[in-house]
Amino acid sequence: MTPFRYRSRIKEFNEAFTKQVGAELQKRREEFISSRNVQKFSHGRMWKTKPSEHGDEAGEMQALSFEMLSRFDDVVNHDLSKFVEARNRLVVGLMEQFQVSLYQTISQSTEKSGNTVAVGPGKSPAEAFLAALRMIEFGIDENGEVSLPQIHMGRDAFKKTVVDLEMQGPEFKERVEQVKAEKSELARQRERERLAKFPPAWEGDLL
Amino acid sequence: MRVLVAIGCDAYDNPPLQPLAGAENDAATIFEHLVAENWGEYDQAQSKLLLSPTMAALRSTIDAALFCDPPIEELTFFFAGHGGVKDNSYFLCLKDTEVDRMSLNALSMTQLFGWITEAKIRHTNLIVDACHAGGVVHDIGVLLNPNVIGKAGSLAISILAAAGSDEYAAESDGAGHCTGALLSCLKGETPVQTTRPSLDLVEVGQVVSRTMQGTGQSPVCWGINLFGVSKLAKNPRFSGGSAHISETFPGLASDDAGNEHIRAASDAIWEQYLSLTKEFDADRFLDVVQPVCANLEEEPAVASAFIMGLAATFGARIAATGDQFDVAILKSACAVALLPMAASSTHCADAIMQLSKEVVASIGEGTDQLLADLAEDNYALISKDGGIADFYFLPLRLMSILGWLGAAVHIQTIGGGSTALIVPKAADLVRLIMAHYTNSIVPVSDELTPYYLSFAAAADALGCEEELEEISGLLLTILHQRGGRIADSALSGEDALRFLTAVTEERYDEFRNILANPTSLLPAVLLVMDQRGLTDIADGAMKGFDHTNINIFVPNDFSTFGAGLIEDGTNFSLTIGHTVFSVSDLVSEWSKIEDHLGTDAILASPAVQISSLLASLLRPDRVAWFLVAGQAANTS
Repeated sequence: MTPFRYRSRIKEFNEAFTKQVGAELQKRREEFISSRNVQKFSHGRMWKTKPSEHGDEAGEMQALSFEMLSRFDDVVNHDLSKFVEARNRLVVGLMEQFQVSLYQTISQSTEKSGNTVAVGPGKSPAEAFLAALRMIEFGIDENGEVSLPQIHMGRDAFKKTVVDLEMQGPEFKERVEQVKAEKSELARQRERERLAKFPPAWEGDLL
Repeated sequence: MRVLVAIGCDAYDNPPLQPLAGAENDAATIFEHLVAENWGEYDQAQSKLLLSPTMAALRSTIDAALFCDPPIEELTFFFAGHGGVKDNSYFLCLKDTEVDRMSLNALSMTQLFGWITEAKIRHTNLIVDACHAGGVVHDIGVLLNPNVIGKAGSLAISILAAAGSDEYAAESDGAGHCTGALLSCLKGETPVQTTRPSLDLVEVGQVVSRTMQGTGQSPVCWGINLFGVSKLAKNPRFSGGSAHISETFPGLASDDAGNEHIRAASDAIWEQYLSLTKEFDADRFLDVVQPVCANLEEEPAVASAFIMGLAATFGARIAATGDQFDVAILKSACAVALLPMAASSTHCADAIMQLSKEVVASIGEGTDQLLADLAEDNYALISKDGGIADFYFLPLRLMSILGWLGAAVHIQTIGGGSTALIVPKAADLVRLIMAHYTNSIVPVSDELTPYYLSFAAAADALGCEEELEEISGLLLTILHQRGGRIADSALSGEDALRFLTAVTEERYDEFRNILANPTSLLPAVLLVMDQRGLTDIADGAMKGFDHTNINIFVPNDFSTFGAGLIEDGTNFSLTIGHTVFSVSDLVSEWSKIEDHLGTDAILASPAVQISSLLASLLRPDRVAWFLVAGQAANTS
């Protein structure tokens, strides 16, 4: 049996390591999803919500897992670079799965609603961008301001789109601005309609 | 088989050990009562009375009495005489004992525990009426040492030691004072309890300790029943028929698989037991006993005997700390440990119902205590060593008290008992809390939810309708002021401080990881207000909760409701301002959940309902929503 096991301190160390990885994952996740949109559930794999026009009334949680291997030799040689490497691999591995899951979910959702734009022969990246913009509904954030959509692209597609957008003339930019203005106004209109669904609020903070 | 070995040593050959006058008399009286008069149902032939024996005589008697086939189920070992601690070990002194060679001619606890283990005795009651007898505790390490006890050893033992390790045991008129107090309990002159037909040494010992307070002699009593409630003697005060010793440890054959599961966890159980004087931690207790019960799923009689045994001994030790709510928590944890088998085993369901009665009794005593404390001091509910931490923990404490009071009412109602005893005092306590602590009814954490809901569902029975409306209004108003932001369940002390910082400096965005998102408290308050006919008021707050995520979790199977993590279940998750806008929108979604709960076959069992409610109070990251199901809205 191994002597000097330092059981409780090793447990603390491993818990702290898990926390460190968790904090790093949270930081990376916030590049994709605002922390205000992240929910934590203590129990249960399933969730249900009120059916809406967009569907998604029920679902099942997916577990993300990634195996991390620490070699005895690396530990014996006290190779700390391997320790850092292992931690980074764990974060990257879990983030990759998260991204795949996120984009798959968005993809399934847009295919279901028909909100897809195909880029192909006869349609430039800039035109596809404008078509996508026309399809997206803008949102209103918690402060009542219009929130513009985020654009997520692969590196190559992003480069091509940026180059193509820069090549467009003022007329194209004007069309983009017009769509943004229309969409923003529609978003404000929807927000007014949404807020009108609330029952009359208290006067001030009084009950 | 049940065996008593009673030893009384008056005669001592070697100074400085002086002759005694009452030790033989004490042993003979105990033997007479328990064996000759049959109040202990001990085997007449196998039980032994030894008067001033030498070490050799004791050895030969032990050989004949303890080592028999099948092994002894319960041994009571009584010793009156001189005793003392030497080299950190406790020795019982016999006729030929020489103080400078005790290891040769005195009986050490190490030796005695070794014999008990080797003889595979299921449970041992050890009573020592000797000076410094509390020194026996020094030898608890012996019990926990696997080299001494071996794999097949018994670790179940209850000990009553007449005096603290630094005290002398007194005798007068030919009788030891501790033995006198013990006999008074055994004969029914001093009441111990009236609910069970037999007496357990630990519960008797607690009464002996209480009756000897102020005499300069403080008996020490503790022990663990690992294999069921031990039975020292018949209970002359039993109110439910004739006193008797029922089958001692049902289903526990000496080499049963069930035994092994219990033994495997015995170190951890002892560890919990020994730390009880600090604080009872239900979560840690369940972490230890739930896996044992899971292994005993095929042997529910063994599981229920195991749990009832723990409830008796742990309960007595916690009761000695004076916190009756902690006793209620322990008994509840025992009931929750049996929840997985509650629907399928009548043994376990019966045990849960028995434990829940004890929970109600403890809550009743705790309530009496608090009423008395509050009558003396309005600030009695503030933690004496809490300081500023009570800005966070006092609101939790208050709602916990309300929740447990509600639980007592529910247990009585679900179990078909009377609420007449608990209701008046519980209602008084609710009113006192509202009189002195209204400003601390604050929604600090989502873990308030199960306590709030337990109280809310009992408010009518308590006659506290007005108090419930006031509490609900306070929670809603402050939640509204904070935009529905509330701390997550079970925050560490450090995170609780961070939460209060977030509230005072309105820096919620920086502390999102410690906020409950979604929250369960908000839907609970809204549903209760709807049921109280306060929908209009609640509706007025809804816009202030725009974008707040709310959640109602329901397990697939309530048998799993006590688990640390409930894997299978559904989160009914809604967002205010997106999927619901008004209280009626929420009520409409709730009615679907309510229908689902109404048809849950497992939940129809009273034992499942009670232990699920208790699970939600012990592990407040789950809510017993069924408590408010079926309660029609009050439109008056």
